[in-house]
Amino acid sequence: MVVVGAVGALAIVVMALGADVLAPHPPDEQNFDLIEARPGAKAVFGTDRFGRDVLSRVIYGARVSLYVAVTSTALAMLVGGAFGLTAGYAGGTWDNAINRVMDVFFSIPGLLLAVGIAAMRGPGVNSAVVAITILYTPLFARVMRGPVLAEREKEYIEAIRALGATRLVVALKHLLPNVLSPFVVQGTVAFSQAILIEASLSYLGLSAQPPTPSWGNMLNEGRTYLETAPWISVFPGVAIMVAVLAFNLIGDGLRDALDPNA
Amino acid sequence: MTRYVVIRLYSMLLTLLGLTLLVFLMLRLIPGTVVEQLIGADAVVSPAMVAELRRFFGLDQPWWLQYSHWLSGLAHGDLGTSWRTGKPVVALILERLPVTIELTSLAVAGALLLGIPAGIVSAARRDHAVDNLTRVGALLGLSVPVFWQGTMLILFFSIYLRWMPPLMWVDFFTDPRRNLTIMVLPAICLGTASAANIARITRACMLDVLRSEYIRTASAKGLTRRLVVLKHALKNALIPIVTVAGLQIGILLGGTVVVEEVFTLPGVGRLVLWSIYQRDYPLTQSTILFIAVMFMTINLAVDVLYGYLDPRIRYSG
Repeated sequence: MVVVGAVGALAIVVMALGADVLAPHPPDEQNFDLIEARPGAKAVFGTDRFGRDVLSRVIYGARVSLYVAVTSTALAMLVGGAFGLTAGYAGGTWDNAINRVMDVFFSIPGLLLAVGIAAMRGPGVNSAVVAITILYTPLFARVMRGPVLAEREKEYIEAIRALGATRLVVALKHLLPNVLSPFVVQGTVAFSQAILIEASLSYLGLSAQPPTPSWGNMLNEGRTYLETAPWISVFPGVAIMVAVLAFNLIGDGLRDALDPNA
Repeated sequence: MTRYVVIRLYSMLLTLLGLTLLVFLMLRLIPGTVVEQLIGADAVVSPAMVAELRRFFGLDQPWWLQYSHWLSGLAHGDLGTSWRTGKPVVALILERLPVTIELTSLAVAGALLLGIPAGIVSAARRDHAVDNLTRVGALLGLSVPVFWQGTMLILFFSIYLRWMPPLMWVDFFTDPRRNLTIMVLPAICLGTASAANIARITRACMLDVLRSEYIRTASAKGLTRRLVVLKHALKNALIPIVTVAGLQIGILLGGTVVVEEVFTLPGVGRLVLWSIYQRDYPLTQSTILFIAVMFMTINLAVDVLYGYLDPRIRYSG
C-alpha cells in the first residue's frame, strides 16, 4: 500500500515540477477549433469552453495544490511545533497562555475557520497558505505538547539539566528528537488534508484565481457545463482524489512504522 | 462529574470571549466594508455620502467601541441585525438551522450505520477480501473531495439516470418524502468521510479488543464467534467509537459550508459564506459564534458521555 502511495505521490510531484515539459499545451492556450471537445486523440482529457486543454490544466493545477500543501504544512509544523515545545517544556504561565489561545482556534470547525481566514485576506493562493497554516498551527502545537510533557519528566532530561545544559539546548537537542515521531506522522496526514482544504477553498473562489489553473477552480468552472462537457469537472476531481489518496497511504505507512501504538 | 462540567463550562465561556475578539478583528481585516459593497466598484459617490453610510453602519466608531456594543448586545441575548437583509440575526439563523441540523443528523446517522458494521466485519474477517475492500473503501472515502463527489452525484443522477431532486427545499414536516429526496445526496456527500473515519476507528478498536485475554476466554468457553464479536468485543470497543462519532458531528458542521453551497441548500453554512462575501459583519460574527457554541457543546457532551460509558474514567478537572 505504501509503495502504491509513494508511486502516486511521486507522479504528482513530477507532474507539478515538470509541468512545462509534460503538459501538451500551455494551460491558458485557447484553441477555438476545439471548444468543449470530448476526450479523444486531439485532447486526451477534452477541452473546456475556451478550448483550453483539460489535461494540461490538470498537470499545471498540481503546482498550486502542492505549493499550498507543502508551504502551509511546513509553516504550521514550524510554528505549531515551537508553540507546543514551549508550552510543554516551559509549562506554567506559558503553557496556560498558549493553551487558551489554541482553544479559541479549536472552537470553530476547521473548514469554516479556513474559509473565514481566506476571505479575510481576499482571494489568492497565499490566502490559502495563511488559512491552512493558521488552521493547522494549534493542531501541531497540541501534538507536540503532549509527548513533551511526558518526556520532560524523564530522568535523562534531569541528568542533562544537572550537567548544566541550558533550557534551549535541552529542548532542541535532547527533547525534540525524542518526540518527533507522532509529529511527523501527523504532518503527513495533515499534508493530504491540506490538499483537500486548498481544493475546497479554490472551489469556493478563495484560493487560486482564474485563469491560473487549480484543481478546485477548474471544478467550479466546470459545474456550469456539467451537462454538455462533464469531463471539465471529472478529471480535476480524479486528480485531487489520487493526490490525497497517495499521501494518505504514505501517512498510514509512516504511522505503522514510526508510531505503532497510534 | 458535576465539578468537571462546571469547570468546562467556565472554560468554554473564556474561549468564547476570546473567539468573539478573534472573529471581530478578523472581519475588520477583510479588505472592503459593507459600504463599498453597497456602492459598487464603478459608482461615483461623494465622500460625504460615504461618510454618512459609514456613520449609519457605525463604522466611524473606533473598533473597541464597536466590539463592546456587540458584546453588550450578546450579553442581553441580542445577536444583532443583519446589515444586508435588515432582519434580526437570530431570525435568520433559526430560519436556516433546521436545514443544517437535518443535513448533519442524516450524515451522522448514515456514517454510523455504514461505518460501524463495516469496521466490525473488517476486524472480524481480518486480512480477508472483505477487510481489504473495507480498508481501501475507507481510504477512498477519506480522499474524495466533498464538492467533487456532490458534482459527480448530480451528474450521475440528473444526466445519466434522468432523475433530479426537486430544487426548492421543503421542510420535513411539510412534505417528508420530498424533503428526504432533496437531502439524500447532500447527506451522502457530507457523511462519506465520516463513515470512512468511523469504519477505520471501529476496525482498530475491535482488533485491539479481539486480542484481549477475556475474548480468548470467551471463545475457549465455546461461545460462537458471532456472539464473541457482537456481545463481548463490541461493547468494550464502543467507547472510543462514540468519542470519534461525536467529534465527527462537529467536523460535519464545518463541512456543511461546502455541501450547502454545492447543493444550494438554504442552511446556516451557506448563510455564513454569503454574509462573508457581503461584508455583513453582524451576521457573520454572530453566526460563527453560534456555530462555535454548537461545536463546543457537542464536544462537551461527548466528553461527559465518555465518562458515563466508562466508569473507570474520572475527571479531575
